[in-house]
Amino acid sequence: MLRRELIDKIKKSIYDWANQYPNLELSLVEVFPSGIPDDFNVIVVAKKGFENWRKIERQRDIADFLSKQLGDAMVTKISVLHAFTEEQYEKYEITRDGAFV
Amino acid sequence: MNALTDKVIAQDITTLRQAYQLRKREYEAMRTAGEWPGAVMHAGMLVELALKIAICKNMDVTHLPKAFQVHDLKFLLYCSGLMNAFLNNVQLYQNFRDVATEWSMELRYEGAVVTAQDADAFHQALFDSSHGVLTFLSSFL
Repeated sequence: MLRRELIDKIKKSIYDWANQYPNLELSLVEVFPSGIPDDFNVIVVAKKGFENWRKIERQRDIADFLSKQLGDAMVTKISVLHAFTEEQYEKYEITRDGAFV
Repeated sequence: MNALTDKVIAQDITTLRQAYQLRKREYEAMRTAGEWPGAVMHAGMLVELALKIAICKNMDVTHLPKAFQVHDLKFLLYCSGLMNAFLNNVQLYQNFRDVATEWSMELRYEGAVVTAQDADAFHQALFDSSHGVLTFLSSFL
């Protein structure tokens, strides 16, 4: 499968996952190569719906859904899977560009 | 300093093992004291050190090349020769991804909000008796 197709497939699955939760409103889904061959990082940001859900648990919920929908082999291509509130994402953006490194 | 020693880190594998044991004691002390952000930061450092030791062992060298002087856990796993062992164990890989996602060296600079629950989830991902990342890596130390 081409990289672009893989990215689109993962993105679509994440929107399918979000559709299970009527109160959840996503504002961003980013899937991009991690730098390791055939491997991706995923960032999901929600405008609302993540506030009372622990970060690690919502990430596991997404990973479990992707495993069921796409298979374990596909999900092991994901190195890092962040599920942020918009506030958390803003903070992440500051550090991701290397400001503190 | 000759050309080769310029290209490897100063600490040898024995020093990395000693550092691992020291960081582990500090990690345990921080958990006991309820210092959750510090405990999580140390926990990630334990994974980093364990993977660097595994790379030295796989390459059969005493000193890690400077090319591996990075904090990217997935890259270190990729270079350790243990990637397939992780990929073939879904729960182990899930635990690794949790750690790789939540840990970064930027934690040193952040007044991160890490709750006891977060730290316990991290601890479980590392030390679960069947699928913990460090439980698995301990046989390579």
